[in-house]
Amino acid sequence: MFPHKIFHAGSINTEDKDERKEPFSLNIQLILFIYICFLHQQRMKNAGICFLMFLFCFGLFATEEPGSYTISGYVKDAASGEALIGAGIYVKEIRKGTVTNAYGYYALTLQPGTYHLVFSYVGYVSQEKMVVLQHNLTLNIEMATEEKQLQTVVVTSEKADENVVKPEMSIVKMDVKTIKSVPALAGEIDPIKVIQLLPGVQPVSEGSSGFSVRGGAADQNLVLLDEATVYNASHALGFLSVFNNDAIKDIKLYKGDIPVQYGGRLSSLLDVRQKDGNMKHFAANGGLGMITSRLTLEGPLVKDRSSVMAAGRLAYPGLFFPFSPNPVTKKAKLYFYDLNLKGNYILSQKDRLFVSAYAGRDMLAILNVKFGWGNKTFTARWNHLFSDRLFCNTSIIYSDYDYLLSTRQAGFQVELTAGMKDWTLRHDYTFYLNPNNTLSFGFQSIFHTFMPGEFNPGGENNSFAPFKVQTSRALEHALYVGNQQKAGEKLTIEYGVRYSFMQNIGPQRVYLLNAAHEIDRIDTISSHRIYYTHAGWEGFEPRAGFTFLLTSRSSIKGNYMRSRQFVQLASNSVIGFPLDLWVPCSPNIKPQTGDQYAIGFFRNFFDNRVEGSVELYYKSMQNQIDFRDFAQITFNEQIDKEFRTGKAKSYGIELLLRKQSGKLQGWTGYTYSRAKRYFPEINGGKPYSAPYDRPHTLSVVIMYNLTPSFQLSANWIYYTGTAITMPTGKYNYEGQIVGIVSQRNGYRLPDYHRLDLGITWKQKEKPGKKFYQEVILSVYNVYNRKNPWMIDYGPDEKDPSKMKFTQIVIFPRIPSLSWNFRF
Amino acid sequence: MKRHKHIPFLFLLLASAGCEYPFDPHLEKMNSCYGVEGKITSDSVFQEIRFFNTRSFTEKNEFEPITDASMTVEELYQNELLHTYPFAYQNSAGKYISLSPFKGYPGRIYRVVIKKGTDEITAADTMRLPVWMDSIRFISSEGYRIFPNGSYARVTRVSVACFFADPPEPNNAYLWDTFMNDSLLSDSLSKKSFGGDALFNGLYVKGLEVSSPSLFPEDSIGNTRFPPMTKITVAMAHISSDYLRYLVEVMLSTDWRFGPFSGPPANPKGNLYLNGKKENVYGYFHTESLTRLSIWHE
Repeated sequence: MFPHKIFHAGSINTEDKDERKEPFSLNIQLILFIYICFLHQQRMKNAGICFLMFLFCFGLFATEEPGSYTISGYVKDAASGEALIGAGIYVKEIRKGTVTNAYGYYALTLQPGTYHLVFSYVGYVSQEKMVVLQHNLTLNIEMATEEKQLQTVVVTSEKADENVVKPEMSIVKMDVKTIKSVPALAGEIDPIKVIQLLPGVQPVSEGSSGFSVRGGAADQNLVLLDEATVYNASHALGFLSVFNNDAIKDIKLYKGDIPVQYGGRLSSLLDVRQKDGNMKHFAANGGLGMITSRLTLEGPLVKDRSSVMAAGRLAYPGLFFPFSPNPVTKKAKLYFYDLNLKGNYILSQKDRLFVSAYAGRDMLAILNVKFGWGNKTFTARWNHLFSDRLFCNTSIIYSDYDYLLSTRQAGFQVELTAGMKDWTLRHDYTFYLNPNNTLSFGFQSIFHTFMPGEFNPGGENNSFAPFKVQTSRALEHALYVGNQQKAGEKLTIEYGVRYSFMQNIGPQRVYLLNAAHEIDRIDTISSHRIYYTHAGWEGFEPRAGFTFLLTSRSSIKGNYMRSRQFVQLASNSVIGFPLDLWVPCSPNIKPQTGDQYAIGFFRNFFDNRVEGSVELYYKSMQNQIDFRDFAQITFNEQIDKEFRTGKAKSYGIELLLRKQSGKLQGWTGYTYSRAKRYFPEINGGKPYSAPYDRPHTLSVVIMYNLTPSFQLSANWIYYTGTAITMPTGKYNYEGQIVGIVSQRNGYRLPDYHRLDLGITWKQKEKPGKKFYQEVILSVYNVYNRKNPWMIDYGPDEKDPSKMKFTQIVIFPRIPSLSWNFRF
Repeated sequence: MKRHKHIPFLFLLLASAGCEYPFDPHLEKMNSCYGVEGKITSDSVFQEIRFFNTRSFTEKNEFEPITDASMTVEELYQNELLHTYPFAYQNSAGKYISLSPFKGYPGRIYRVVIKKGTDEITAADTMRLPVWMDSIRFISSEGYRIFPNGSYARVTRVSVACFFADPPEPNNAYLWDTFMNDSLLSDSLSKKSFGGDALFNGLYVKGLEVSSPSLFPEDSIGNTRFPPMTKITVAMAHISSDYLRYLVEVMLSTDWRFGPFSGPPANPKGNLYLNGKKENVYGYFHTESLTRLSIWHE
């Protein structure tokens, strides 16, 4: 079924405007002037001068074309009023267009005349609107999903060629409905697990929420929830992510070509946006699964003006523990929960406020051990239209991650706590200069607080002294400017630059290390003093890309990106652990830098119903982090001594075929990739495979709508076994058989593959009916492939003279049943 | 004080939910290297040092002793050689034994020199001052034992705790051995207790568990049951912080290895040199400054 264009009588809101606005108002220039003064004070003279020059030049050129007018507005879902992110607006007469931003806003500046604008969005029925442009115009559009029946519709065919035309590559957008359709582990829908089925993305281990993108480490992915950084996006030791699919509106993974307004990580950006809340009517949806139950409520506070959304998810195996006859289980606790909240209010035509929050926690308590960890985020955002062409967003963001581990034994008890907090201020502008140029610029400052750990003993037999690893503080800043420019009918170029740097702030006891990683000197820094802004730490991060249309169905795209990372995860385990914490750069640890080059060929087939792409990439990364053997990472005030630095390289080719419409949908992706590390002090200085070096990855995901009520789904995944380190020799020391390792990651687990199947029954939609339900039956690992989660080895209990190797499989065939509802 | 007690719990929770299958990793063979396990204690005894060959990982766990090396231990003080103690291989023990009993003195450096053919292996450690335990006592704790068939029983288990004052200087490390009726119960590293003073430097240690209930005899249900008038002896050794580091690394390579939650396997770094380089020789040579206390269970 083609996406259709529709001449529509309703769902369009237009407003004529007589005034024409200047591109800048005094307020913006004042804000920027103040920030530049701040930069000078921070000894960032060069950055400040560059930015001033840019503004000057921009002021010369950033004028409206004489006699032009602007069409602007919001594109929303007709049923709920949710803003649609990335919806396309194409002007047929000039063969150019734009897309809506993260808040559903768009603007086009054109000469007076008559135009046909085509609005399109995946999964929605396209619309065409004729506009006679004689003055500035507000044109708000409400789009209906393909499933909805519309009245007074005239349908003609329309082609969806975004894959080819859109000037972005290495980006994957996941539709929440698609995520729901993919068979899941234990029936638990998880956006991150679906993303791991895409080329270039790999799980760090089976069932884990951690992922590697194009050979990068798991901590090189920036995970944002409504702009707030999520530092540990895992529940249940990684088997589920923190993202409740019911609360999500949009998910985009940037494997490269990260927009210039984002940075701070080398490999990828996972941008997750929560639903704003239904502006039209009250709605609820939820479900019961094998492990969790969910409920989402949303509705207008003031119709078409203000709405709220609240979503909760609770894992409940632990709810049954009190009924167990086993006294240990009876007192045990095991649960996790997520709570997502969002509210928004349209203050005026120019102003909109958003407030969103997330809180999630895991708790595991058994016998004398209690272990809990969790995230909290809060975002307050203000959208403001300075003019029809100048959109501004200001955000204040809070992120928090912490854990608690306590134990009681032999009369004494111990409590370990650690965590980190961020406060962020973002100020972003989008200036729709004309149909050929869309400018973006702004700044971001993050105040990091790292609390590596506090040890509090108690109890009558306490022999231990309290101990606190000192808290670290740092400021991370970035300025950016970028432009997307259409240079002719066939060529679109993107270019921009980001300037980033970090400052460490006292109070601090700074352990300066020598080349042998021993303490050379200890400096004591007083409170609030910025003690380190190193010349080598700050720098430009250029971004550039192009899209060249070969034909209407094919294009070549290329991209270059440089990025910097100032914080890293102190973890040397494969799958990550809740005790892992982030640490900042320091006088001993330089920021990581990376350069990524990518080029791709994009081709659509069968009238754009099938999208195809081939992308090649190469990444070179400097100042990469690894750890010395047996590194002591937790509760270590001198953790810098544990780090070792080196280089990494990765390269690969990704093939993707994707069909997103019709009865049969899905995709198949193949990746050949290599990821190598070069550390002088690890593996004897010889290159070794990164843990996520898997040369071959293949995934096939299929969804077939048998009838409007029944959908079949299947996915088959294959990847080369994970690189592991195995001993080749051994000796006996005090009764322990100790392995001798000769090469890091010199062996591999057996290749991984599995098949998942699912069948969904959906209740038919009928006019007037409000309550709907669906039942999903799925089987994970249908043919019960014994994919090893890990290899264990040790003396054979039956014959201690021999060594025994065992592969531990934790996910056999797992059927699941879940029930979802909405009204 | 053993570290990392709670990571194993979490790991076991996960691993216990899984299934195990045999696996053949097709490992390469490794050339044999040297291994040394030796100590000099403050007891006046025939001191013992084990010298052996390493093996390929898939071969049998029989580590043949090297019997034809020459071995001496030098005693040095302020760079002056005080004594040289010769050792000889003893078939019955499977180790090199000093030709006469001697003891280590605090503040002196003990250096082993092993020569085999053209190879020379050396290592040195300094004997520390003894740290005296004030007392040891039995500690009873109540718990549950869950049987394979799912039934459970309430059990009482007994451990031994010690009391002592940690010296004020930092980086003290200790190793505890447990004896029952003068017979060593903690006959492997996994049964010993060891730890450093990072959390109690300069403090008085009250009731630190040094002998686990798993060392002691139990009845059929799991209650600790001592025969009448059982003598329990705890020996506390003051060791170097580097040796403690080595012990932790050995345990992290063996019993404390927790699959994907652990860092990658690596080689514990000993203090031995082969022909001047720390390569192709494994193990550790250390000193132990010992004190002992005994209690009786009636």
